[in-house]
Amino acid sequence: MESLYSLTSVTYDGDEYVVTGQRVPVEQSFFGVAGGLTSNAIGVQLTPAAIFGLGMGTGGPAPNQLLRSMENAQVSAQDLGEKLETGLRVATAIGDIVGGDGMVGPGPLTLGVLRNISKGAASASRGLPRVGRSLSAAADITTRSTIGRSSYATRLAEGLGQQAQRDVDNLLGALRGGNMNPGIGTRALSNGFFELREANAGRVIVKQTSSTAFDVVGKFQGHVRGDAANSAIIQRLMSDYLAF
Amino acid sequence: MTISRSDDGSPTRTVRELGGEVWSELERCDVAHDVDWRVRNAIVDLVMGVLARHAGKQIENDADLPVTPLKRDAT
Repeated sequence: MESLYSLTSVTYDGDEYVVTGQRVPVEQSFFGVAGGLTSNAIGVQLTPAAIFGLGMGTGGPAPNQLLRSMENAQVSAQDLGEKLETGLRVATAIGDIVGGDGMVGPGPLTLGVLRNISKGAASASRGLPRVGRSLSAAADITTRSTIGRSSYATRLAEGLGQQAQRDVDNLLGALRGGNMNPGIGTRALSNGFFELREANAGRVIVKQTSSTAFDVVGKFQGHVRGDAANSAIIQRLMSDYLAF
Repeated sequence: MTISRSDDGSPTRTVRELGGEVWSELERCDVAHDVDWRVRNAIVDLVMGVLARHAGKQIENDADLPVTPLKRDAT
């Protein structure tokens, strides 16, 4: 679900543009922008270069007009975040290229600079305090079980208690739904292996095989003494998987 | 049973728990999605290597230039 922001004013004090607005209480999604969008109100201060970048980045009308057109509009957090992020990335790239962020308007721009902007945009993102984050970024996750390849993994899976099996089902359901940090939190096991963990000792080891696909390497009931005691099980599961 | 998660009030985190958190944030990050998933995994391994270098130390935010915490995953 998206959050909505109602922009209430755009002012220019001769030095900076100030965009103000209120978050419509929907929920989640958060797209930060330099200067910080807070969860309750927007108080973004943009330099003229950023504003110029905003217009450039969106390919829309002149920056000033663009923001004015957003005034009193209800925009989704995603729209706002993406527009501002794109703008800021381009603006930062411009700043990198022309050597400062105090530029107003397109004066110093040349065709060569414009070409470099697209090249510079990616590296410019390094300078962003925040980046856009999308809850839907990991949609359409698929999983494939490889447990049957290993008699050890099969035995562990068959030995799951009822509660742990429920945990495992929940974890895999959450993963397929795009939640990479379900349950009590994922542990990274290196080399693309991850351990999904639930509170009732259910554990799932997965191996990422593409941006949207995972192999289910094993599922087991975690040891009562904690994660450290599970290491032998995890090592064996990963080793068996890699052996195939 | 270890019941630990970033929001459970526990005073400690393991390197791999933090690695998992970094990975899940990378997976949700639009900009990071321009990067191949194998590179994202390599970044996670690299971050864990750095964290492991400092295991046992206390991490503090910079008083003069504090880094804004990412919002928690609402899912």
